[in-house]
Amino acid sequence: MSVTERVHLFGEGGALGIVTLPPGDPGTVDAPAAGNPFLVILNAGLVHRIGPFRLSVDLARRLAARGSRVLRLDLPGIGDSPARGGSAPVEGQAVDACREAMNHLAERYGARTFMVGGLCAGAVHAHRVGLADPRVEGVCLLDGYVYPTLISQARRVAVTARRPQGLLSLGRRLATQGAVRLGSILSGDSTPPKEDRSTGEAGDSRVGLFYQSWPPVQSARADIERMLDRGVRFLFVYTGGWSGFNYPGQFDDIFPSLPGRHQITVKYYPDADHTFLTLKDREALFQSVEQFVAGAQAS
Amino acid sequence: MIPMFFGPSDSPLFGSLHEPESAARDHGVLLCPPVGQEHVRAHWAFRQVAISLSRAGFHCFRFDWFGVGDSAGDLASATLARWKEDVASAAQELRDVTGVRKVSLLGLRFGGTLATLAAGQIRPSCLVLWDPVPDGAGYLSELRHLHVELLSDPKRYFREGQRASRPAEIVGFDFGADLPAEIEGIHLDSLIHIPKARVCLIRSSSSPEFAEFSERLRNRKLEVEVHTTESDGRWSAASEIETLLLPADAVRTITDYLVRRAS
Repeated sequence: MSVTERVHLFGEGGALGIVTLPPGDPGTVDAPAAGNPFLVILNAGLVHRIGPFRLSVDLARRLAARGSRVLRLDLPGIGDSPARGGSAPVEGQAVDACREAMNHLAERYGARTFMVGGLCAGAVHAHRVGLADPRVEGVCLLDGYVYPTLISQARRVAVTARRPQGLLSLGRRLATQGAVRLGSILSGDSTPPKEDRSTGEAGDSRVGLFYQSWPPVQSARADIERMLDRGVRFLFVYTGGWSGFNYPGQFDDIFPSLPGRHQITVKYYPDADHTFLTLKDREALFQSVEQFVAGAQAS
Repeated sequence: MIPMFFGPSDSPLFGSLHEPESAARDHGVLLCPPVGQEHVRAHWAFRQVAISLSRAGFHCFRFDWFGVGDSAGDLASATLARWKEDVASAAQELRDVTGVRKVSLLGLRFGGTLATLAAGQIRPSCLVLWDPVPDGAGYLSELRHLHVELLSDPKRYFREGQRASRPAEIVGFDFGADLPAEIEGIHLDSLIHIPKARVCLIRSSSSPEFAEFSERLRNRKLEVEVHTTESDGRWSAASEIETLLLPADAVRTITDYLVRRAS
């Protein structure tokens, strides 16, 4: 028996999502699976709900095969979900759309608690949803909230300088922003530089799928502490792409002495890229997420 | 837009119907997407094409192949035979749901190839092929080369070195044991046996010309138009595998063509 999938349009905005149900789950409010947290996977950057290399589909089906109900949601303006009008910030619209979907899942499937996760910009949205909604008891952030430290910057400089053209590029960066950044880090301001990684230009026929912008580190820390205090558990997964995370202890250097640190699991895959290109890296990711979800279901 | 699952109950396909926003034509357009990571890149483009065509009065149906996108299965279990059944199933769904009598096919990359292979069964009024793959072996060779390049791409990995992957792994997907050989068996001779249909070949500026393809189709007394579009996927470039294809120019070309020729 295999998982079953249903398509839903949520809320007034008509955000599109696909629900994956465990084998044999009738999808009723009183089925055994209704007692587990409903998992919500958000868009990775601008990729529609299937995820890069179909990562979100494979992950949803694996988690459902192990007893979880899973939603893959297109946030407003991404995939098949219409953009919302109005002047509200994109971040707020994403949180609203996700909470509308959660309300629907509560009504339709009897969901009482949720775990929310995402890659890249999806991690930022997952964090915000976790902060905004008390029903969220787990947040999974893939390459989310990366801030430079002295060690990470030193490693970045060393790696860049070893590469062809790296010295030239490094020289340009230092000339334009390096001195300012170094001063900021030494003064304790770990706010990352704003860097648009999208590759599209005006008139171009392509646009980069991944772009992320983090809030100031003090703000992120305060948010995390608030959720930890509420009992929320976190899974932070970092890759060996160019996210800025480049050594195992970086998380604790960014967020030292977090109260409730035991509620946080940090995984670092230095050989994986940002979007988990290889099957081996994706398998490692899936196992981490499965363990995290199983831990939540057991507690 | 009406999203739905359709087709076999044990391995359903995902589809999205875009209904006409202006005076409805008795004509549906079935959109056949690429496979693998090219499918991910083209999703937004296909949505824009469907919206444009629905504004021009066409009933449009987008769908995902078995093992692709939101449909059941995985790529490793896919076969050409199953994919040809998928086109037929999607065309039937389009006819059943909307009642249209005429259907045209639009395919991008390998979706164009599959649309062409299924044309004999569906008998489309128009066949619009955007950067189709006329040579399966060349297509897979290009993807495998791209895969190797990605595994050591210094823009992708902080640490230097060549990563390992499984033999059947190609640009993020497990193509399985049998599908590659089936794809490699496709060549121009497989694609020219199209029944009476108007054919539109659309090529990106960086794609090879389809001179031989178009000539052989014309030799079979088919009406063929060839257009070049600025909507360029740069399908074999490592720097592009995570860029979204923005199709504005291609949308215009496709819509103009179908409005003119889909009588």
